[in-house]
Amino acid sequence: MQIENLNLNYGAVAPEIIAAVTGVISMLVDALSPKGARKTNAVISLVGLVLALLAVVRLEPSGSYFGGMVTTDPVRVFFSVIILLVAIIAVLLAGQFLRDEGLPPGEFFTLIMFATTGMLLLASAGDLVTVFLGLEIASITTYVMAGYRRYDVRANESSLKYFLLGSFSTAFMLYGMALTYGATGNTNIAAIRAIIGEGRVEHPALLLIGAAMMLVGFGFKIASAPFHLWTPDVYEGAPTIVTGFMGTGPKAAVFAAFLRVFADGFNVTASPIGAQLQSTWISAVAVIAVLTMTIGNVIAISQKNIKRMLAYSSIAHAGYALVGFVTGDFAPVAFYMLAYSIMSLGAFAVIQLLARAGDQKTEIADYAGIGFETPALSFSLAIFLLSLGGIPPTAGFMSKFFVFKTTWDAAPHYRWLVIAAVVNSIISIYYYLYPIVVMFFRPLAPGFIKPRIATMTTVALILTLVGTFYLGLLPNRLMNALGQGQKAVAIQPRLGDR
Amino acid sequence: MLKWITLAPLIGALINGLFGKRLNEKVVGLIACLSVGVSAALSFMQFGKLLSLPADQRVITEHFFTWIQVGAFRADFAYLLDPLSGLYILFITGVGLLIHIYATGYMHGDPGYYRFFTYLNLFMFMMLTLVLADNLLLLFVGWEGVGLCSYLLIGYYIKRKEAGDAAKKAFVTNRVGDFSYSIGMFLIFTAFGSISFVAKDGVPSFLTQAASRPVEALWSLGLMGGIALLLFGGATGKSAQIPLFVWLPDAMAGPTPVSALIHAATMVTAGVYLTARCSAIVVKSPTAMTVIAVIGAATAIFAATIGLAQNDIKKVLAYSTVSQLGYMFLACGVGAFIAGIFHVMTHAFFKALLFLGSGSVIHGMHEEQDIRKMGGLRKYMKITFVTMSIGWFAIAGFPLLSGFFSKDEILWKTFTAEALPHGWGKALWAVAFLTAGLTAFYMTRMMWLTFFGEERFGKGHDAHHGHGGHGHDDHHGDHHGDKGHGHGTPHESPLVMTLPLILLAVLSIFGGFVGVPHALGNIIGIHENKIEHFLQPSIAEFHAGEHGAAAAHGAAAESHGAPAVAAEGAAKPAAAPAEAHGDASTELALTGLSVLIGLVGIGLGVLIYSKKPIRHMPSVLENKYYVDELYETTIINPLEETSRHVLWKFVDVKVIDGFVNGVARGVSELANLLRYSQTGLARSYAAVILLGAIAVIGYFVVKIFGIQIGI
Repeated sequence: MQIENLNLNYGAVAPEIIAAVTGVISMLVDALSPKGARKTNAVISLVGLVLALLAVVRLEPSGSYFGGMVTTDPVRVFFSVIILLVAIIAVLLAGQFLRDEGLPPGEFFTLIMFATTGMLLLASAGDLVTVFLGLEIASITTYVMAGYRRYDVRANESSLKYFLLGSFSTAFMLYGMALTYGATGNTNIAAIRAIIGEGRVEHPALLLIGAAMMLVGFGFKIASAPFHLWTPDVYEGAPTIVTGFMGTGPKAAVFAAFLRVFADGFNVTASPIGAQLQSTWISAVAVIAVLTMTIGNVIAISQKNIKRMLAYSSIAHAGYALVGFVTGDFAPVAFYMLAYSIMSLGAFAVIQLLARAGDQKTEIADYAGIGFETPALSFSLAIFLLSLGGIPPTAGFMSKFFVFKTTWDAAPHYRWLVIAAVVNSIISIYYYLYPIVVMFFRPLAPGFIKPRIATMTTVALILTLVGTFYLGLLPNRLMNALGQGQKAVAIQPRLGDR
Repeated sequence: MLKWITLAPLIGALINGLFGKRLNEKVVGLIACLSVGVSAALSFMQFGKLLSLPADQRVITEHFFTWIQVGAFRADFAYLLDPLSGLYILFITGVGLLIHIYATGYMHGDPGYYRFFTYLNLFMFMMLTLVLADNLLLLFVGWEGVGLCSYLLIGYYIKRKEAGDAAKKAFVTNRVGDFSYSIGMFLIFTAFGSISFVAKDGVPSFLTQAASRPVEALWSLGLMGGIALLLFGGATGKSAQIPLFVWLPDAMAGPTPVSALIHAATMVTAGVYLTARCSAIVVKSPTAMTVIAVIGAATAIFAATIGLAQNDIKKVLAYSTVSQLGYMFLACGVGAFIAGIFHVMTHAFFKALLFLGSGSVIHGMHEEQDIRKMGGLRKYMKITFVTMSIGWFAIAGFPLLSGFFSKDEILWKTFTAEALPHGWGKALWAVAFLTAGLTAFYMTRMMWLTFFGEERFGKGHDAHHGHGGHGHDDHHGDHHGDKGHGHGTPHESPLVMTLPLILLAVLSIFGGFVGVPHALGNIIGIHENKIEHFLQPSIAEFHAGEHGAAAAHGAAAESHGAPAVAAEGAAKPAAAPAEAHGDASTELALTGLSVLIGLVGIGLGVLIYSKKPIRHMPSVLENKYYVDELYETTIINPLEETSRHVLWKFVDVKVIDGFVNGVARGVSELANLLRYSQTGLARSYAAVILLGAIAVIGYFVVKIFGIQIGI
């Protein structure tokens, strides 16, 4: 590859650079301030994130840079926005968390910023190598964050398990990439797509096995069945705010890469091998989607710990989002991840506050009767839970509606998938309502102390609440924007068109 | 600009709702009144702007955002100001402001002061949204919103059971009507592809489309008739018509300013607004018009007779409201929508006045509402007495007061109704005429028992303590005590309460002159019926089609201009002068008759009740024709029994619960089973991941063989 073709456009990676630099700055500031710089670093991180957000907005609408390593398209822009929103809310929540727990403040913000860098890279990856790079940066930082509460055995267990199993799945991912490279002679996603489309695949078997292994790798990262087993243990053990972060940001980022590799790279029907690959992975994803949401929802019903319950709920939601994959269209998945991130972070924020230091109170039974003791918190939690359950007029309803409706219209062969998803949504209402019932209709549990809410936490809660209702009530603008983005890039012929 | 008319009260409601608890009573009252004041000032400005436009272009629209757009269905959050909504916002904000001011005095010392004004401001927002909405769905938002506020305010005295029951009754009864409204709205969308009052996206408004439809035959029920009746069904709920009127008298359990604002002047006339707004549809179905007219007239006389025998001052006024609403629907039914709207307006003036006056009496009598325990109050409460007397004469149809003009117009239009089957118009006129007499009579009875004759309070002083059945506003007792009023001595209310009374009295006297009927106008020198001229662009007229009875108007009336259904907007067409002259003498004769019956009613009332104020009234009337009991036995009890024994104990418990519990048991057993997979050991997780990976890869491998065979 010649140097002049690389297209070294640093503006195209400005968000990633800003995030990384902010991470370094916050690390230095922390090192140089004797007592640790909780507030300063929170502010620095927020500034960095907002700048990164601006940089994302100012990206050229489409393009390919650094020899195809980085690509800009609506998927990148949209998912970058989700990632940065998640990071902003996490930073807003982190201040109170660190103070209440008495944890060293500086590194936490640094970790969030590095994780954000990795996630942004993941969303912008135009090459399998960049996908891997982003994945690892994001993963390694989250491993550390999961064990941030050093003295806590549960957090250590969580971190270690996440690390071991994550490495295991990374092996699959890497091997899958290698095989794909072997089959196509290229690691660039657009190039792979072109090669498949022209039918110039030397070893079709390698390509399919490579795709299968990457599916396993992605499947692990988004916690889909049967690769989900790590999720509940890790989510329960990690500090609640980290759980909220892990369940939304990295997951959304992986979805972006997943979409680009599969819904873009492996979504060509022009050649027999392409058609074969496409129908194979789509049917595999459909089965995984049903398995994922069913297992997530069914096990969630029997959970007594709210973090564990939400871990299973998070598994189920990955299943719903996977439904959108069979359309080969990114818009419903993107909208779903945005809605899910907002409502899920909101729920975790409330849980964090109610749990108190060291996550003492995370059993659902601990919530008995608190409904009118801390009305603001319990009503917020109720709203987030109802939204997660898909009750209108919330984001959860609209996002489900969008995914299910698009799939129903665009992929007639996969209507059974939509039906399964709707049945699952109905099942899920049960466990989302249960904490609400406990909060409002049970006598007050003894020993309840009204949590103190810091200003930044309030801001985060208001943001998530407003987001939940905004997406639920006025989704039109966003949906139209997504629709236009989709036209501009014209990702793929839809399944229904065949 | 239009949005601030509605947003001002909403902002007031938000401030008071969020911070009111911590605010001083004065500040709360100030915020509430100020927000409505801003709204009223803007309404008058916008109305002025509307008037400055040429008569056939009086439409101001304001689009905020597209609310819902799905396929061909479109509903905007957009406002429409035309003569009809313009008139409505004027009296809603005007009367609303006066009542807000009054309420700051009336509710003084109430522990829920801020809550009250929050609801009241919220009500203003909803009511203004209702009338300004540019489509049926947004109108429905306001419709439900005012219903909610009404519910909250009826049940305002949360500690009293009858207030809670009344609130529930209002809520449930209104749901029946709302159901009908929804179906009507769906039908309109199905039929016309639009629910908007103005053209959108090139789709003409459903009103314009309806205007070009043929008139349906009498006694046939076509699409137009069906829609009209469904919408009217909604109106019977909100506007308390037979058969859904039962909630309104009970709604008097709310504070008196609420009764005046919501349950007399504004919300209950929303049904009339809806019917007039959709007049283009209504006039296409003589069947629907006949039904509306008959129900209106029946409600009018039915409620008036009940009003004869009520002893609670607010109940008398409540039945009187139901009766007057009947008049308005009678007007709509005979195609005289403008007369109906005119009566809405004058009624808002004099009925708000009477209600506020009754509030002043209740206030002065220390929460006594039973008129049998009053009497002779005119000595103690001069302003209240004089202003209420004006309301009394206005509602009785005393010449040249506001109620006289509007009622007279309705009577005349009923007498000459063309849409109704032959002869029915005259019969309904007779009913309405009799009702006018009854109205004068029962109002006289109420006024006489309250203000004249011997003083019947004081002796039975203890009675009003033990007397909890009528929904007194029981918060006042304490602060009166503090002020050192002797219990039992009536007193005049403070200026914040009497000033609105005076202003409303002025409006009740002069408010009618905007709509002087033609025949009469020629005599007293007012030659133009201003209100008719003004409202004409918003209202459709009935044309008997090929029968040509109303040919004077010409078919040109069916025209384009957005909400302007009969956009010709010209002054009342000059019908053949000779015929007009003949009509005029009949009209004058009828006017004379109605003046006469009003005076007879008053005279009889005075004669009878000055002799012996406390009389035993027929028990069938005192018990309101046993309608509540009838509903109880025919609808509520069977419903409850079916619900309890069939739906609950059998369908719910046995069938549904059985099924659900069975499924739930299955699911939770599955969950327990699946939970075993969650061992907590990293190595077994890795094993499962490996197995999963093998399954996925295996699946792909199987497909590879497919390829190799395929290639």
